[in-house]
Amino acid sequence: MAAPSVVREALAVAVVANLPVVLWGAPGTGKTSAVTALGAAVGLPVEVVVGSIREPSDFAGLPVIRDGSTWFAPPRWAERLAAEGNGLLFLDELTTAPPAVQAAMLRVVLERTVGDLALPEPVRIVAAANPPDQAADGWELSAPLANRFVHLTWSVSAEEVAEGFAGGFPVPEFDVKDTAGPAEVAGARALVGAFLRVRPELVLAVPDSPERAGRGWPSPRSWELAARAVAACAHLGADEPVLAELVLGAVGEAAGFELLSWRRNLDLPDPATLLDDPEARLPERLDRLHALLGAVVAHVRSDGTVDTWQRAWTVVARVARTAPDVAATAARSLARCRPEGATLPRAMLDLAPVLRAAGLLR
Amino acid sequence: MTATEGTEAVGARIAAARLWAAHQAPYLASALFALNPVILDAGPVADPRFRGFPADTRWNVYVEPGRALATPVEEIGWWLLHQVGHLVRGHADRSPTGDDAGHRWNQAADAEINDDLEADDLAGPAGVVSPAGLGLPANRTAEEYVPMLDVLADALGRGGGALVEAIDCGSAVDGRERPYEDGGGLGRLDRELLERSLAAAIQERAAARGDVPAGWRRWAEDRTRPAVDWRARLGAVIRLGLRTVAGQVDFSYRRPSRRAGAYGDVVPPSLVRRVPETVLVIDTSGSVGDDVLSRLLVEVTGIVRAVAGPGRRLRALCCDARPYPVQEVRRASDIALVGGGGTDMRAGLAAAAALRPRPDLVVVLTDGDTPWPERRPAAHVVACLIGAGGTAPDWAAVARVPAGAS
Repeated sequence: MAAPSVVREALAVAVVANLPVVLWGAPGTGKTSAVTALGAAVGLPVEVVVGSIREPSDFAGLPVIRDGSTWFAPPRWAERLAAEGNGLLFLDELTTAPPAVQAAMLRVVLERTVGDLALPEPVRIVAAANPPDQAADGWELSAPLANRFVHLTWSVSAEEVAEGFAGGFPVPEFDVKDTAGPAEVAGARALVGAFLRVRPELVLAVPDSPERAGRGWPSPRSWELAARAVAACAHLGADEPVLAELVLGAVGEAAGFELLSWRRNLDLPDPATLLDDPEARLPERLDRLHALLGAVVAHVRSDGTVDTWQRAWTVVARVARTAPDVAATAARSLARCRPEGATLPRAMLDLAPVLRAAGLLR
Repeated sequence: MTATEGTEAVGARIAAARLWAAHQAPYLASALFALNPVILDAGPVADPRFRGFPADTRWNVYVEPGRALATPVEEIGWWLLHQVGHLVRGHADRSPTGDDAGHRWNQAADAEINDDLEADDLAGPAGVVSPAGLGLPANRTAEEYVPMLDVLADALGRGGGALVEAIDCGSAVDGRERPYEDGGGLGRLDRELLERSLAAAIQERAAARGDVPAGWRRWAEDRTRPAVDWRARLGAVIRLGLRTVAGQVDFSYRRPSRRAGAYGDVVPPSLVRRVPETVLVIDTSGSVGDDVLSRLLVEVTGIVRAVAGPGRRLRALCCDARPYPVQEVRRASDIALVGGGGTDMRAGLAAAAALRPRPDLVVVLTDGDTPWPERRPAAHVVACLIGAGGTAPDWAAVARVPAGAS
């Protein structure tokens, strides 16, 4: 679980980027006040609608007979948002509302219509919910509704509460108008698309258990949310933990972490290019260097020619200058897949001191 | 020797130790290379327990130059493997709070790691905790070792001896910051990604070669498939069952509708929700323990009461090879568990279906070692399977509950 400040920032980024968010948290942890404060800070009028004290007709519109036909009159909060043209609709207590009311709220989130009134596109939707194990009368979200939200887990830390009481709770400063452009969104979609090409089994994974169905799960729609989150974070300069919260919240933990680690390794050079270009940049962190050399060895093993095998040794020799132990680990597995007729290169001799120190060379 | 030469010599020694460790436990190589050695130039640390190579939660390992040069490479390598164990098993997060818990927790955590290292023929240096050396069972968690070590230390203390020498493994064990630490290192996200890739690598290797010790394989399995909290799962399944049968929302004239104001002279109906009738079918055959059942009953009745409302009567039906008379109770503790012969849940479910008023939801508490009806009963069925063995048919929603549930 991420730090509360990260979740706050993730919420702000999602609101600016117009991603529907649901905040999961215990009652009394300041979800409502955080959302109203955020609305005030970014200059959006906030309408708080508490689901558990409403009736379905408050979301589906009240049927009135006018001129001999039935009109579904929208409530005042919806009219205010429509008149304003933008704003922040905060659906509180989403899961403690009775199922009939939840079904009516679902339509507001899905189709952005209240009765006969359509909410304007710039209206942001934020929902809050208590996890079923914390609210006695709570329900899990249905899988289709859960799939339309970015799920953020709201928590509080004693330290931040203490600071907030003393000096006010921090509100991230973002400009609502300053959103990622079409080019940036297209770039992010291309990134997610490239990832899904590598891991096609993650495109759609319908959850198999009721408690998992109530959170984010991968589907083309939630990958779209994830792509927009990537674009928004890049545009607003948000840190990687913030992006991680949003991506994991959209597509769920398992698929989200796969995307994040794949994105991490994007800047690692491809083994084939590394063998062709002896000057290619090498990563600095040892564990990534180790992963890269592992990929090189696997490439050499599948290639199986003497030439590739010998070029791999030049890479090992380069690594040996800065990280002899990483190089030696790779060298040992490289030596094991020596093709017929190849001679052991000089680089192996350079590694003799570290191998001897480790007691691996007799 | 100058300072730079000294640092270089220490660096070379750490590199050799890492290589040795990566050779001994190839499945942990990526974690070993992720450890960041921090060389403490400021002189010796004034803590008598600073005897190994302590780590912090951000994957930094603190190295005192003098100690690194004096310690054999194999021993440094062993300490690196040991610290990887502390880090990936999340000992800092699991550490009990409270001042007296401090060092006993460190020893218990050491015991949890060291038996896995010993399983791979990697015995630690003299003076570290080893379950085998102390005559304790292997493959337990640190939480289980704490009381065992307390008993041992108490017995030894009376004889005037100490259990083992006190060696501090740093904040990687208890999350409390040490004075020599600096702020850098891996963030939360990096650690998560690292642990996940390590778990995946261990599983791959275990599948391909099978040379990974059982303790590490178990860790990797738990890490990639985190244990579902059975209470949450049970609650979710029963709630979902109640929702499925409670979907019968109906219109009624018993209460006025809130929309009445908009209609004038017409009296519209309001929506009412029927509270579902729930029946518990309890497997009281010899194979199911009474203490597990009574604990489960408290959970189940608590969930049903939370959803259906307080003060409701609940019907329970004990069943072994034949069903016993139905009991109407208000509290779980009022249910009398009768029976003890063979098992046939078909009889229990048939008896539940024959009850009037007709049940909407039937919650079956059983070990699953029973024949089931071939056809789906009229009521929605939730099966709480106790233990890992039993099975339930497709038409029942299943929550598995560990037999030793506490």
